[in-house]
Amino acid sequence: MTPAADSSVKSEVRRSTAGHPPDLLVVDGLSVTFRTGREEVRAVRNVSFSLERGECLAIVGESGSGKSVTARTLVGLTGAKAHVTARALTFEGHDLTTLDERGWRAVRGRRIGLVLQDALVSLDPLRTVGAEIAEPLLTHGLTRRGEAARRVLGLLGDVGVPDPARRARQHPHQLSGGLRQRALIASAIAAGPDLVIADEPTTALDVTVQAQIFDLLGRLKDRGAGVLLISHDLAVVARLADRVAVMYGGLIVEHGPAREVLTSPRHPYTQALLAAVPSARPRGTPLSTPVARVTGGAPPSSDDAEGTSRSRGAFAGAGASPASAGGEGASPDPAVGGRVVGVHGGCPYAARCPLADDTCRDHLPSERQGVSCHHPGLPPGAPAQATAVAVPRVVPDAVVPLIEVHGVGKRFRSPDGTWHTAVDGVSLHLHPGETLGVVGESGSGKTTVARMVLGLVEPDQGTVLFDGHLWSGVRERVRRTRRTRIQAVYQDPLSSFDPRHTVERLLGDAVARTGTRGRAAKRARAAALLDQVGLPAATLARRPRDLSGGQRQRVAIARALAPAPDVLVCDEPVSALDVSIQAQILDLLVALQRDLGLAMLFISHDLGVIHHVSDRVVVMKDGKVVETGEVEKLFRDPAQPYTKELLAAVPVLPGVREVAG
Amino acid sequence: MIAVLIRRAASALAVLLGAATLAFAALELIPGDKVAALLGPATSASEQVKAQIRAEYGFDRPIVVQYLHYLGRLVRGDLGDSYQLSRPVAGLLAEQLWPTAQLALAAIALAVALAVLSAVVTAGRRAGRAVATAWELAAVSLPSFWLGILLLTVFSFQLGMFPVVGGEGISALVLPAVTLALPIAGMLAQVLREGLEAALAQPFAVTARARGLSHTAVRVRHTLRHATVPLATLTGWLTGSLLGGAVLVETVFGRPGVGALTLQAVSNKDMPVVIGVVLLSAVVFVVISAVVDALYAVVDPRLKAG
Ligand SMILES: Nc1ncnc2c1ncn2[C@@H]1O[C@H](COP(=O)(O)OP(=O)(O)O)[C@@H](O)[C@H]1O
Ligand code: SF4
Ligand SMILES: [Mg+2]
Repeated sequence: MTPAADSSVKSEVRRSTAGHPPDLLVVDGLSVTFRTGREEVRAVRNVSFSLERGECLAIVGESGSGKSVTARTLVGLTGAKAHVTARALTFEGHDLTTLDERGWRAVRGRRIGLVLQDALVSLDPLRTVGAEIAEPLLTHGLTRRGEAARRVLGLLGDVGVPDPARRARQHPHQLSGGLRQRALIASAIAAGPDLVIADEPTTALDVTVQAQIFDLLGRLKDRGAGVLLISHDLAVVARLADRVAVMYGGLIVEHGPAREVLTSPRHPYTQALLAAVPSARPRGTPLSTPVARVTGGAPPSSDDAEGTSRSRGAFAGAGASPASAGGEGASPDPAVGGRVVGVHGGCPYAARCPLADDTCRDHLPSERQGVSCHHPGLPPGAPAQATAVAVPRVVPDAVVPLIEVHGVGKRFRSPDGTWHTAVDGVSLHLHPGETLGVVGESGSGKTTVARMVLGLVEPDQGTVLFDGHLWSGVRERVRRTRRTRIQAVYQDPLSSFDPRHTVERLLGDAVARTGTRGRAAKRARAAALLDQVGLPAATLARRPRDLSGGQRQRVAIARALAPAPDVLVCDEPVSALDVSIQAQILDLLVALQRDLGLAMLFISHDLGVIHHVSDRVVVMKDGKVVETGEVEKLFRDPAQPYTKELLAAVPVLPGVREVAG
Repeated sequence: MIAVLIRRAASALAVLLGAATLAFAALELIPGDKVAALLGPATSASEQVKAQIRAEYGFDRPIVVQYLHYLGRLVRGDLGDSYQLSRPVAGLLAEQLWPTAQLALAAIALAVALAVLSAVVTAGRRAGRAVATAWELAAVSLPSFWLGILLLTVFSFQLGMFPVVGGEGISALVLPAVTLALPIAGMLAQVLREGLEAALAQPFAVTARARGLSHTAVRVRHTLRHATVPLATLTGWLTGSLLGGAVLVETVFGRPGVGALTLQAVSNKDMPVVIGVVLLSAVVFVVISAVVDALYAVVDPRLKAG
């Protein structure tokens, strides 16, 4: 293996040993390998970076690229199965590699605070929030027991938790996602660490909450702490990071000042990542890179590489066994993990890269000026080859809407017996061939509206019409004949599949409901559906749990298309996916909608996604429609303060503000 | 909250009623003369005594009336008289309850201490785990009478450290308690370790380590609590093995107690006492379940209603 010598980091190391105060953190040539049974997973490979006080470095990459392993290595918590090597790993000039368990304990929580990925499960559910936050203080003997409670209240106040006294007494399950994330950060910073590592601190949070978390991290930075921010989303880190390191397959493939990396990325993977950010692209242009977009053929994306890798030269004899999907919860898209890339010598990105050639496949590129690529430096934003820009469809008023929702309301009973209003006087129309985006934060009633349109929830007030006929308040017998004309795609396709069935069985059942009989006929139809969503027919034999997140969502879409519906209701269909895979699924939905003339009700909390797919938008808050309008106009010129607030919270890449409107 | 209490009380009553009904049915189903069954084979009672029993139990009346009558007596705490010992069963049980309770409580305390120690020290550590699993399996599968005799032989007969028989004092409690505790400890330790290992793999355990806690501190302060939750499902098994174990252990060590009383009653077919023991077991089960349920809500706040 060619060591990807990191010249700039080297020079920083040299500077730090030449009498100046040492850098806060220096990582040089860090590699982490996991041995599980016969297999070796090279999760982190020869990674180098450094961080100063008051600085924020963002590590960005898709899931499985080794970000979390890097973070955990910095606090010595990679576990017994991990083999860690580094040329240098120093914190404030002290060598971390020589620390014993006792030495590490003095560093953890006290000098380096780690905010673990997934705040929802990172606080002990059986202890109060206050006890969790006080723990680092007590462990490091910084506070006496009696005084801890007061310190906890101060910390909760600092991270912007309202009513700290009550919250401190509560348990994590009683807090919303945003509050839990803040409590977790409070516990990580309680002992006043000089370095804060935040692993995906805003994934799964609403945009406005996201913005508050970033403000909080920004204040830490201003107070002089070093912040190591980890994310799969380039756009999100733009507001905080001073420097960015992009990781792929365990390697840092590009690093540099945030502005440079974000505005003129030079590595093909960084370019693809940026292109995948919905708010950064004009509507109608595809989000995924051209090669990844070739559907029906062999898209060598992380999403699909596994299904097709055996037919590709890059993987011939590489041992990319189909079983590699099993057994690793950490990496839903296993082809990008250390496993596949670790076994051959070339560039890990070669299987997905449009520029890959034989040199790329045989030789690991070494780092030059912050980029590890044999063919770097394509200018940013090169026009995509297929610019099939969809002209916004202007629907004449005369056209009868396919779905009409008139003033519907719905109340639900909470477990404590009180009623709460989920939807309150919502009206909307969906025309044939149109995409209506519904956007709002979680709990704003989007899903309840979707379920009313699907005829799964009866409104308490108001009516729903489908194709001019009453759709709500009628008997199931009346609805049944028309049910197949409205299909749904959900966030988590696994929950609607029986995971033991094969894809053939799942699609076959859906096909059978449309009247297709006979095994061969069903199989042929199922294969055709898979082709429509860009999956090879070989997928028929596989089971959902062995598929990657993106592949599963494609199967879910294929199943929804089986009865040739008129309306597709998509409820957060891409929220659980990495941006690059999210981009492919969005492109697929947009293409299908255009080709099949579907009407789409598209629900998302992500304004970028909504902006990209919708013709018109409905903004919801607390069960009510706040604003509605044609997408470009609404994004350019929002009328309501709430819409403005939402838009202001959207992470925008530097230099693309005007594109996003 | 009140609804939960009412539901719990109702299910406790149902268990007790079920046990009482089963005992009644068992008596009905014994072939032959019920009076003879109640008296036992050894007694040659006079016709006068038999007539007295018939009248007392109302055997001449319809079965439903007999059943209600029987329940009525139970409610009043009247379990009838032992024909072997010619004394009220309730009084007999009350007398024998304390030695058995002493034994059971000592055994439980010892079992919990052993199990926590074994699980906390070895969870997630490959070498320790193998050793601990070995002793736990042995403890669970060893017959307790065999274990009791082994302990007696070594510590009482050979080393003379503890008395061979008898129920007086702490020293007489040690060997019986160990005998009763070991299988329970083996089972508890396995369930605890499994729970600990599951909890240690959770992100919150990593968070705790990242705050600077030691391995042991994470186990004691965080994961042990999680590991106790699955224990509640063992309540029934635990009650059974305490009572069943007590019968054997009290016999082997010649201790007085409910176990010894039961064995005596069964071998003499002293039905009123047997029925009394069955009902007492049901009460013990109900009480232990209630205590465990209450602890459960303390351990896991997510289980509180609402
Ligand atoms: N404890 C472990 N044992 C084996 N493999 C692991 C372990 N932790 C992580 N990995 C592997 O290391 C790779 C990088 O994972 P991770 O750092 O979690 O990625 P990211 O945080 O970028 O999503 C993945 O292939 C993952 O499966
Ligand atoms: S080295 Fe080759 S395959 Fe790798 S990113 Fe650069 S051009 Fe693509
Ligand atoms: Mg991660």
